[in-house]
Amino acid sequence: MESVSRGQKATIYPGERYTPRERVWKILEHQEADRVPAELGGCLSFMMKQSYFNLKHYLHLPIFFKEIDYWPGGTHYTSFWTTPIDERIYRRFRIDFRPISIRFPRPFIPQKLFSDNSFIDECGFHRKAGETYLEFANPYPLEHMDNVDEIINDPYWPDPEKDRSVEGLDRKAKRIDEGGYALSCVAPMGGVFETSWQRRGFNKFVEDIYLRPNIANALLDKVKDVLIKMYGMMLDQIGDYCTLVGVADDMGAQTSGFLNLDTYRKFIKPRHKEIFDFIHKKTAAKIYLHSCGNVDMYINDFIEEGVDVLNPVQPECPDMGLEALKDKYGDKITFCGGVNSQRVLPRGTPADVKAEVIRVIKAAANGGGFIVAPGHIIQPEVPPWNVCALYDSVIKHGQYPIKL
Amino acid sequence: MEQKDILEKFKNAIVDLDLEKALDSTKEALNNGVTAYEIMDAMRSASNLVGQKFESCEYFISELIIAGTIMKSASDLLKPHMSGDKTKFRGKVIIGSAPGDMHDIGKNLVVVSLMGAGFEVVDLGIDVPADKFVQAVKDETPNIMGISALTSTTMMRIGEVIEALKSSSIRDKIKVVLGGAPLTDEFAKKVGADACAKDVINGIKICEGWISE
Repeated sequence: MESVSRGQKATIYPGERYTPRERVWKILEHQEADRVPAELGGCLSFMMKQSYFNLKHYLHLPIFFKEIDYWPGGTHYTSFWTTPIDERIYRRFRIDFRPISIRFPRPFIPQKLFSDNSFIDECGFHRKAGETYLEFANPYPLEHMDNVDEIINDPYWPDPEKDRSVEGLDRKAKRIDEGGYALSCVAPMGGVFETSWQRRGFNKFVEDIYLRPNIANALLDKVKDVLIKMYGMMLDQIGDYCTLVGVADDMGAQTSGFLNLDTYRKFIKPRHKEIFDFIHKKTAAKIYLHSCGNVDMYINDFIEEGVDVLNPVQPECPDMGLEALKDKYGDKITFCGGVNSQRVLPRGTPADVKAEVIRVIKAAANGGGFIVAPGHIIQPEVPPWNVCALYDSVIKHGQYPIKL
Repeated sequence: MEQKDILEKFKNAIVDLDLEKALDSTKEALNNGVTAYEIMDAMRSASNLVGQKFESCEYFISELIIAGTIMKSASDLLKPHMSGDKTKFRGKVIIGSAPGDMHDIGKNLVVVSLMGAGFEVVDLGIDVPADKFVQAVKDETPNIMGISALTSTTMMRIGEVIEALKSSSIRDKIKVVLGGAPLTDEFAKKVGADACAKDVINGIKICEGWISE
């Protein structure tokens, strides 16, 4: 595997005509480039630590001290959400994206630790280590509060100006930019809907929307203000270098959306729009929305809000087949994802993975507007040879013009 | 207002997701001599109508949650009025997330929807070890066991729960239904479950089907 040094420029491989950033911009402008780009840990396409370490072993790469979390049981946790990927893996898989997020000025310690080893994390969520994830735990921190003032003045809300830092982000962004990569700016917390329920409890927050709209509105506005502050701090430093700005707000379950469209339009859409408009004013970058599950019913609204890229496009969900989505919205939005990650990646063979990659490229890559990525976070049991098969197949079969 | 009209009003309030109206008409029904059992019956048919709206994509997960909240609040009002043989549940379900799985949004929704549909539900919570499922079957003597798993990793541990039921010779005493994003009928068959629910409403229908057999 090739060795890399800090700030090293992207390699233009035989048969390629563009730098990663040029390639990504062409794809985002719905044009064909030299090849289809692939995403892994470059914006909001995640990989669990367990499978990441397996991959490193498989590729004979050392595991760095900074990559190891101290949570029990090898549980996946990174306060930056995206697993930091070893630069050599980025290059091995020819990932065109590199992420940057706001930093913590001090090492992370729980805001509050409970006797069962659960704790309040840096975003004010109650978490407990499970066998695979660091899960949201009961009770939710704001679950039993019944007035707006108490909720808004809760001491565990993140305060970006006090608890976060953007020092050095511009230097790092410049280095990535000069390397020729597509830079993604990612906030280390979710969007207005998911952050609201992660602090309040899912059922409780849905009840707020219907039965206590003053509380729902106050919560959503509080999260929106924190996010605007966070994106503002980051984009003031690195806005000129960004290709993507990642926002994560899961709106779908496996079979359908969480909220009906009217409720979505009343409570969520205006806040999404305000955040995306704010981002668009700060940078020419495209908005990349990570929203899991069956979100077909919201896609027209996402587009109206200013979303340019939709991730992760879970193919196992009804209505989320790439062919149909490409037909319906292909000229207005770029899809990033689509590779079956509930069945093929964990339990298929490398040949199955290759066939899956060929399927998604055939379905969605013509005319640009498609980035290959897993249809959800790569789970702990996904074998490393399947991860390699995924990205090797993109390199091998993703050449434009698509002749599959 | 006649008893029939009050029950109709109660039913519509649930279907229209109007908490206040649902609770007012519950009290009104009780004051007018409607039995808690009759009100529960009306609640079941309201729950059924909500399910139909979900299936026709008029309602989404959020509406199922609100309908569940309303039905739970109405049930709380009915509890003091229910006693002895008049408290008739359609069946008993024990439910929990698979060993290692700490997700409960979907499971909690199934719990309230099953209650609304007239089932007695014992919720074992998240990350439920196989032996806890086994003990609950022995203690609670349910008709049905529901196991939930959200990830492709934790779903692999459903098999150990079913194996534990077999080795305790109680597998034949209950029906087992699975639910969760990555689960399929094929997987359910492979691990020895009786069915896999594709969503909440489908899960309720599966349970209702077994009870009426």
